[in-house]
Amino acid sequence: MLKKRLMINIGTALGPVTVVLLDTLFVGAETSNALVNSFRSSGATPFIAWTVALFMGHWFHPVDGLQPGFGHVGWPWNYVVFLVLTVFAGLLSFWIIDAAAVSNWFPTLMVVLGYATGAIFWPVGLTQDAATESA
Amino acid sequence: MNTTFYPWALAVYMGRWFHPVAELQSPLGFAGGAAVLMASTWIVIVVGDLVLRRKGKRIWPWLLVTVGFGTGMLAWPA
Repeated sequence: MLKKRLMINIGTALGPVTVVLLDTLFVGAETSNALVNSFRSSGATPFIAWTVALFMGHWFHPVDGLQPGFGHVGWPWNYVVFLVLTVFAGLLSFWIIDAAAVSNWFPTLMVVLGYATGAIFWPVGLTQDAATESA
Repeated sequence: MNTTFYPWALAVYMGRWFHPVAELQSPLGFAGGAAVLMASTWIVIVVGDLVLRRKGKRIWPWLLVTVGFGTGMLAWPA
């Protein structure tokens, strides 16, 4: 008989694995490609990539207790900076850059830049103490 | 809410959707990539949320994001 702890481990991880499995089985590669290609042709992909990556940098930045602009850019200027950059990313995606010409690498670049911007100008204030307490 | 699943899963989907090569195919094949992805997801959650947290440690979120992004690109590209 399996140990209780192992059973809990298996059960906890079962949810996300099921999501992946369902996506793999019922969505499939061809459907996913069609969806992504429709985004790419509209120019929405780089902007979506930027926006999601911005939140990932906000939540999952590398340094606990990180301050906006490394402590040199206070509120509300950090909000001004990343909101202006977000508008600029939207303009680049939808208006300025031809989506068909740069669809290969542009979304990936937006992921990297969005993550860096979120981490530097909008880091969530998680301290090491809070992280330890909630662990 | 304090779980490795969110940074990992978000990064995997980011790698899946926003990889730099059009029409990218997984070198592991469709079934192999899915199997690797599910196995790595299970390992990340069990190790990150259950094993390490019991010892008062955790996986760095940026490491999960980086590895998850690469895993999504290589194992599960759209």
